Amino acid sequence: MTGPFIIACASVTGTVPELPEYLRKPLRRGDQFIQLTAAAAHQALVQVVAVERPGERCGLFLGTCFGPMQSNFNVLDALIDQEPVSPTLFSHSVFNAAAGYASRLFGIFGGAWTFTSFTWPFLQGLANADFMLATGRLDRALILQVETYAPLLHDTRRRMIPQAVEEWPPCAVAWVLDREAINPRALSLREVSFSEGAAPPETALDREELLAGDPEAPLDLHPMALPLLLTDLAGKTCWEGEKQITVTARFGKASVCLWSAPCPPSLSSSGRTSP
Amino acid sequence: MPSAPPRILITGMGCCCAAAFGITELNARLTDLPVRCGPVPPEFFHDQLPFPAFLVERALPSPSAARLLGATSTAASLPHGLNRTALLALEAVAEAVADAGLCEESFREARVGVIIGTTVGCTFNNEEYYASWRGGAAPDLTPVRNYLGSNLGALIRTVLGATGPATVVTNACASGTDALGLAKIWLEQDRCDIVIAGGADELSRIAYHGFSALMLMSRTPCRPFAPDRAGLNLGEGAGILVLEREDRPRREARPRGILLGYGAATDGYHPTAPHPEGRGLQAALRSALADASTDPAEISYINTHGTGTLVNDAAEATALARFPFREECRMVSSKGGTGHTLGAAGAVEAIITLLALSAGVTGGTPGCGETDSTLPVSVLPAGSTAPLFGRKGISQSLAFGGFNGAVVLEALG
Repeated sequence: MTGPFIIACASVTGTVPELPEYLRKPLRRGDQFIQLTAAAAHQALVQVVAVERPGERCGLFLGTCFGPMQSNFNVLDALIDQEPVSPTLFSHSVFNAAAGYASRLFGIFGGAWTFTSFTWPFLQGLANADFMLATGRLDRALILQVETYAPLLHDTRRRMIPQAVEEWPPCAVAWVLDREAINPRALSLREVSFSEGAAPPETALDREELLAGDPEAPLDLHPMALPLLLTDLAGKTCWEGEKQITVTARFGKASVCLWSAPCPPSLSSSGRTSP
Repeated sequence: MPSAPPRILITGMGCCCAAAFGITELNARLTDLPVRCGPVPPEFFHDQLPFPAFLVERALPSPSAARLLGATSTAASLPHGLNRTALLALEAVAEAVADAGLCEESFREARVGVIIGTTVGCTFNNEEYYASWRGGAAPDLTPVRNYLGSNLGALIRTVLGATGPATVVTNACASGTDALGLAKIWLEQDRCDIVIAGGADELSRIAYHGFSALMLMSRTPCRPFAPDRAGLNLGEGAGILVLEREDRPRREARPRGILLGYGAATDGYHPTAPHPEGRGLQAALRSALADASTDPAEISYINTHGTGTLVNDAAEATALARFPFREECRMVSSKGGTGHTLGAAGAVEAIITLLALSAGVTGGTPGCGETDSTLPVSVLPAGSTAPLFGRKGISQSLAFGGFNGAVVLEALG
């Protein structure tokens, strides 16, 4: 079997994420982007009970299209209104603030990287984590995509794409990859590949991703559609063998290949892999 | 037994910052970086805050960057109005690509990736649009289109006609260093043949007020590691390096150096302040040196992050003191000549590091007459020069969120 292995995954959707007690105090001043990051990371990491890894051998990879956009606008509000800028607000408007919080809260000290892209930032995180694990720089990686958007973005999208009536929901996904198959069900990430090309700027808001198949199936029209589909595939049901997910969009083509060993009987009966 | 990873060559460099516009100018000023730090002119933004900044005082784009932009076959996909961060990046890209001897054909034939660090460059901070929108108007959408079309990685890939992966790293002040490190890994993993890597950032009003709110800015030109240091000055600029695997066919161009090692680690300590002992930086340095198979005693030059804030310089000095660097190893901060260029800093400083190692000599730390005696290491003071005993050096970065990155470089030729 070849890794890396997906040992946990989770998704969180909603404006105000549910936070466990131990995270409420340290995150009380965190913005929605930080809270959603922490909520998804927590939900994934609590599934990892088998093998501890030293924090120095764990890394964090966070991809996002729009980052903490509303916090950025809140800073702009202060500037335009000629009011003092809150230092906390400013520090939260910096794109890597969420990764910094997660690194601190979950003891991930082997490095943290935040990627921004209007195409497939989750896949960028996955690919870079895969490289780090393959080179032996890390043993474990937490990979996230987090999107919270902002009213300005929703309004702009409606103006640019009149048929876009539904607002994109705030959402985060988190995966944990490990170099070893430590779960009863061995599920590995065989391939992450994507090629991107020049595309009109509007494609960042007018996402049309088609899932390869016969017939092709359109994905939901938001930036979290592919990460959610993959998370669903990786985390919710037992299946066996190889699954190739290929998506085409105006800005490129992406392919992810997962492989799963047969589900152990104890998991097959429930049809679920996570505790 | 797995084979050793290929060496990663640095075959081209481009840079623009307040201290110099281009590598030739930077090299000429290397031992005595000018301190071009002044009030923020109104064409940047009108403001009442008293903090000076380091700005690039050239019209952008320069003819060479304009040629690069004009030559692109996918010009129709480019935004109509490039933001200043993109223009700064393209200046450095144009120079680095020419320095490496890359041509249009190179980008068609090789797998060329792009990885750029930035902080300001990934935000939508068009005040005019935002103010109009929040006032209930429906402003012209051009600024939004420009933002959506200006992801630096994708933009540069389009301009170059490259077909490899493109990524933006947004790790605050460590972004440039991390971009170089990830590029190294992409090449080692055979994801690309060539990577255009570095960082770029413009001076933004948000960052200017944000750092002011954090009480990290100095009212005078910064004095890194000095006993009376009073904070940082923001700057702007870009640094780009062309990285290639040594085991791939290359042009006649003579490589400038080797990216020997990269390390990264997080402090896990505080949202904005570094760990007092630079815990994450120590780990990043250990990792970078191990990756480079280099002993600390081989390091002859260290370009510190050296912002000039009390806590950064203390944490950094404490971390450096934990390593058995030789007494002759010269430590400097160049931010007294460049300002803090945020996402560009790591790449600009890696370039300064390689130039110093190539020349075998370094200038001192602009703004620092003598090192704060409470710090456990000393930096080379302003106005002095010193020879370097070897060809290997380190460039390191610390960032918001407790992020730390370090690269080990070796000069060739």
